[in-house]
Parts: sequence; C-alpha cells; structure tokens
Amino acid sequence: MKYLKPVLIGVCAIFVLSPLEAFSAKAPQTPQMLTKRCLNCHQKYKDMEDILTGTIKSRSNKAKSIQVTIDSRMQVVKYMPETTIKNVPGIKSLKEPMPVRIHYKRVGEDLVATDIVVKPKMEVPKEQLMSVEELEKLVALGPEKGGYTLVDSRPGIKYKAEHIPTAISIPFPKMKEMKGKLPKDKNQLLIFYCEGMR
Amino acid sequence: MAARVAAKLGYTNIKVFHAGVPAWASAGNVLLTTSDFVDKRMGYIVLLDSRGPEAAEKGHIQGAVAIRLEDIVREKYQFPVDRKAYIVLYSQDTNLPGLAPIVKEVSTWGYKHVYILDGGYAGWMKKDGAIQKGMVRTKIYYLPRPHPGEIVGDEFMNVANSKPADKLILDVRSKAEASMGMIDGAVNIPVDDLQTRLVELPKDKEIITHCVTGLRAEMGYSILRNGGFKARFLNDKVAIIDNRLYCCFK
Repeated sequence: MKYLKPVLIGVCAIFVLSPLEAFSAKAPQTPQMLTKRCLNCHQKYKDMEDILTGTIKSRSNKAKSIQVTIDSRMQVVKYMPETTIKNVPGIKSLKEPMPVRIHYKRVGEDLVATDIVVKPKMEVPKEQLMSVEELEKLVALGPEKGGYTLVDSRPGIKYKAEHIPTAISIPFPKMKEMKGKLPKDKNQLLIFYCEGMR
Repeated sequence: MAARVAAKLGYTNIKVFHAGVPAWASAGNVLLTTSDFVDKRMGYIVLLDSRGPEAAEKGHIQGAVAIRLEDIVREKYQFPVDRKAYIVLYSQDTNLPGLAPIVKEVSTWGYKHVYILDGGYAGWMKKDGAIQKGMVRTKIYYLPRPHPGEIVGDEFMNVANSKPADKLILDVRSKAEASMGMIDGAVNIPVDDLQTRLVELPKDKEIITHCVTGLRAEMGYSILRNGGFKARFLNDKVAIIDNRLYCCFK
C-alpha cells in the first residue's frame, strides 16, 4: 500500500546537460539511481552501493536487458543467467510497471544486474482484506447507502487519470495533512486501495 | 501503509482492497476519469458526448463527438484501430448506471482505456473547461499522442531516404540480424554494446535508433540520452528485406 508508483510520463523530458560539462571534459556524471518515492520509506537505500530502484519499463530477451524508469530518467541494465529474481517466478514475469530494487555490478561501461528484487506484496491481515465482489456491492449502493468511505491512496495524478467510482483521493504521503477528508465517525467503514501488485 | 495510519488516527472499521485498480478493472468494472485528465489529454482522446447531437449543440466539451448513448455500440466500426486509445464517455452528470453498460461493452472490444467522466458535462462546466456551441462532430476521429523521444514513421522514412547530414540512423539490432540487411547509410551497434561504444558516435548529429519492434530502439535511446546525445527512436515495426526498408507498422 505504501509504495506509490511513479507516473510514467514518457522519458527524460527534463534531461539537461550540466553546463559544467562544457568546461571539463571529464565532469563526473552521477546519474540518479534511486526513485525519490522509494526513499519515503527506505532511507537506507541512500547508503547502499551499487543499487538502483525504480519501475520496470521493458525487457528485451534479445538484448538480455531490462529498462527501468527512475523518476524522469530511464536506465538500461543487463542481466545474466545467474541473475537472481526475487518475489516473482522469473525474469519473464518482469513487466511494466513493477517496482524493483536492482543490485548491480559494473562490467566495463555496462551495469549488470546480480539481484532483481521485486517489491513484495504488502502483508494485510486477513480480516482487513476486501474482495472485489464485496467492493462491487458497496459501490453499487454508493457511499451513503453503503455507509463507507473509499480512499484512493495513489498519487493524485493517478487518481485524476482513473479511479474507482465513489472514491476520494488521499495520496499516502499526504494522509496526515488531509485527514480532514476522512469520515468524522471513526467507526464508519473505511476502505483503502492503491495500484495493487500484479 | 494507509490502513495503519488510519488505525493510529482512531478508525476502527478499516478494510483494504488489496488487489487495487487492476483487479477492479479486470473484473469488468468501470473506472472514472476526471476533468483535469481530459483537459490535459485534449486532442489525443476520443471524447463521446452520449447526450446526442441535439443536446451537444447547446454546449459540449471542446473536441467531443456527439453520439447518443443508445447508438454508441452500433457505431463500433467508427472506433479507432489503436486499442490503446483513450476513450471517455460523458453525460450531463456522472450517470454511472446509464454509461457503465456501454463502457463495459466498448471495453470488450479490446480497448484498454475506456472511462466515464466523473461529474459529466456539469462537472466540466464547474471546472471552467473549454466548451463549444453550435456545430458538433458526429464522426469519431483519433490522434495518438506522440511519446517524447519517438520519431513518427513518415519522418523516419524521409530520413532513411534522404540521409540528411545532421542525422544518423543507428541500427541497434544484433550483428547477426544486421548482417541480413541494413538501411542504407545506417550504422550498426547492437544495444548490448552501445554503452561501451558511445565514443564511436558523433555528438553533433541527431541519432535515430531502430530495431525490429521498437523495444531495443527505446533502450538505445535511453542509453544515448543518458550519455548526453541528441536522440530519438522509432517505436514501430521494421523489416529490411533485400536491403529494402519496410516500415512502419504498429
């Protein structure tokens, strides 16, 4: 639930070369490797070396490469038969827009993945889970008759593009400042949803 | 996780629809979109005014096509070939019960983005969205939104034929694939080797990558952009038979 998928607004629209580069031929390039949103919860990633985090954009079997979206940038990473894949059955399961953490090594100029860790599903206590059928029944009744508040926890831009009927938008990072939008009655049925994982 | 935060805020009856939006949609349920989204995507969207031409002439969302709700399914042949097209139906208000069956039907034709406009025409007016009065279109037309970095097929063909001095076509297929035939004047660097061989490429030319489907071309484009090159990629299917270029299929 807390993982909020970055919006895929095309690619590198804001790529600008540092003006410094015009003066020093070997300006150190440190491209962004960590999607900002991941750092909301995983501060430790900042201190880890040779990792990148983002969402899968595409995979080419012919090039043995995957492409990862890191905010507004894209990064190509190669993989090998030895690359381990966690939390999905295999490399073929990697699809846009799965959130991943990739541990890599540098081979020459290339980045080669050693471990690809797909973000695991959130653990939700069984008694809290709601099925699609239950939600369908409630939405058909509407919030008043159904006595519920349905909250879309994804980023506002995702809500604007598409949302479940009768939902209101409260992006997860803004929950505390937007708590006024939650029902006053603390015993009312409150349902959260997000992008869902696979 | 949102549910935990809500519990801390004192809520006692919390549920999580864990499967989320994709599961909701794949179970055959409709999704709503918003005026903000329609406004942002204006021009690259099929916007259907289900109130019909008469009502629409009195005022409709800019760019809308008026087809009465009960006629929409009959007009199937008018819908775009591109199944990724964004299709938005609206009525006077949200009108979920009226529009939902039609949206479901249109979705079964293979369209991946079919929505009902939340708030309908009234909601659009409230947001001061652009409207038109009088004449309204009754025929569907659709323009796909170009992705950043993509070169359209026609322009690619022109570059391939006229070989302008400020552009270079980079074939990022494997050596084996390229040995079967290449576009005249193109340079082959397999995408696997591209990162290492960037030095071989000119920084003063725009580099246009192609492969067979667009998948590796896009990867090549990313590598070039990260390396500070001016680049675009062809996101179409390409075949080169007897050194003749056959392009560009979606």
